[in-house]
Amino acid sequence: MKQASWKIAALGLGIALAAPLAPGQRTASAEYDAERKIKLSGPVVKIDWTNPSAFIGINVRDASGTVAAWEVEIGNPLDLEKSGWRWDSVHIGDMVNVDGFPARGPELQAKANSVVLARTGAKLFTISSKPAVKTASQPAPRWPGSHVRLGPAPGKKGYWGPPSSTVLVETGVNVPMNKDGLLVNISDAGKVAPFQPWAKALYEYRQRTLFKDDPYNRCIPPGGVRHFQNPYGFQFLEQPEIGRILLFLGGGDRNWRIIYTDGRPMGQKDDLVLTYYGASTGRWDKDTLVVDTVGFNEKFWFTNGGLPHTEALHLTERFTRTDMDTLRYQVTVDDPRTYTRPWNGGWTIRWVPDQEIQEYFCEENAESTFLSNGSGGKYQ
Amino acid sequence: MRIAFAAGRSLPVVATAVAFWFALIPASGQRGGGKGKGGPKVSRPVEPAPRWPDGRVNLGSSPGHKGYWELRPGFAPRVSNVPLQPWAKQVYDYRQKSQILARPPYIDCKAAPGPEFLLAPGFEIVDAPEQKSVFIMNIGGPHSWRVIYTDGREHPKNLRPTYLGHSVGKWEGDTLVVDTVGFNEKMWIMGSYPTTEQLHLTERFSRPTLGSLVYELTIDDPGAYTATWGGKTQITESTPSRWVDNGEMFEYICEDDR
Repeated sequence: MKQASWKIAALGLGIALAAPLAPGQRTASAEYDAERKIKLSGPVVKIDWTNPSAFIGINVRDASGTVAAWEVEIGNPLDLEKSGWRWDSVHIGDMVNVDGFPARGPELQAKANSVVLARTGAKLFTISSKPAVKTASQPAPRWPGSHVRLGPAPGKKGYWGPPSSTVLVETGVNVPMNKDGLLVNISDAGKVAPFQPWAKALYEYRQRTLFKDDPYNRCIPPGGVRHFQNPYGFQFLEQPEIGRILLFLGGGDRNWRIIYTDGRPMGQKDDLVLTYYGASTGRWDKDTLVVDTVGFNEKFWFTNGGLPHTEALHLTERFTRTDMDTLRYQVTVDDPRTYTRPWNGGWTIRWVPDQEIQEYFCEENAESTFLSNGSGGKYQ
Repeated sequence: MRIAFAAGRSLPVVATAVAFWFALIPASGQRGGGKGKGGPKVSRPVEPAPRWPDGRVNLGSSPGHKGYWELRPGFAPRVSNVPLQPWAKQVYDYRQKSQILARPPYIDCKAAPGPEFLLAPGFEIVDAPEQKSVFIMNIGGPHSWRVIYTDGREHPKNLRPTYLGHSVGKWEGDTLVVDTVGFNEKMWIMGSYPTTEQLHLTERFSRPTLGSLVYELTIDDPGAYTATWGGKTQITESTPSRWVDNGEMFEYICEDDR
């Protein structure tokens, strides 16, 4: 409740508070404390059915009458929809009883173990636990007489969804870390990648400060490899007749990226306006799309986990669709100012058939940037 | 993005917008744009609109004419006598008066739906016949994309309200007619007008020549208006907004500017 009153006081002051994560601002990557069980009851005031995690907001009144606005994670919307649940399976004003676990970081955030509609006693948002039937994957669709397609076959739908890993470490390295790339043992830092000394120090600092400075928290674009690490998905649109491949991203602010395949030379860093997504040129090596990207600015973190980079960063990404449902993503990180040598990492990404990328805007969760993160300073 | 889509949005950020705008010109010029310098009196050569092999007009890049639509202030459709319901008029008036606490969501880098998606510095319309979809990508606003399904599907029932809504499109002769429902209520349409979840938006895109684009919209929202209303605008060979032949879209990130 302390947090809630602080928030009210802050709003009373009216204007920008320089907090990296505003109180009440939930995060989809929160860790939950399975040791601490909580029960929450109250009316539903918000339904947020977006990837990667659907949330309901409920107003919980305590014994003293103080109301706290809790954000309760109820599961992944795609999984929920497979079990027949929809965004309107619960309505604003419905009274619900939630059993769950509180988040470790953000206050007033919990993960539901069960959600019960008080009026009927019905259990909501249960996932049917039928094991996925593993069927033999179909071969990847192809262009007539040519390489594989990175998008759906003509007339079909689908996009690339969840990655097999959400962290980037050098291939062959196995150190314990959570899904955000937070090391279990900070002493493992030097094993993650061949850091220059300054870069290792910065990496450790970012780890020790629990990624509080991560620009992505402020909806700065997920450039570098990061848009392939988030669960919102992406889709390719190959335009061979135009000499380019468009990438439509589900994360960040629903950004897009262009890979030119018209044979132009790779960007020369000195000539480029430095950007979050960089300047990308691609070519096909048999069934692998090889993309060189340079011209990155330094205003973002290029991967989950806080690994540093400089403007010297050159990424070589290899996209190989090994079958209908699998995209192998391999990346070479070459940034001689940050790393002592080029190094490799990668993961696979799963095809989501017959679906479309859902609408997600990072900014939506930054409810009012003007009030919450201090960035509205220009307008004061 | 702080570049005003409509002329006459006098916001406290206009100075920033103008400064940023001028900063943009050399960058876009370098990328192969620049046949004309913009400005109010220009005249570019008139060429026929590109077409797909099946005869349909291509609203975007074609093999012979890659490019994008560059927007300059003045593109916004002009509207007058908007049939506001009383509550909607109060909201509109408040937004007009209180420009610090109430300002268009795109200023805060929020998603820009419908006509608000067509923000300076520009956008591209990408027809993907194989995927039976048309994509629109904008440079400004949140640097995002919207999709219009042209596979003949209908709007799903009980849509979860979103910023961009659910768009289906069909061709009527040389005009792409886009029908959108399922909006949330966070949009400020045509500058400062409110909308409700009942909004049904119809947009018509056509390209009479290579360098011209006609955009017409109809707003049908019985929750906020007493009648349908709308507007029409166009890019031609003689407007400051233009088709940038051989130009390429570039990256602009709204969050950079706050």
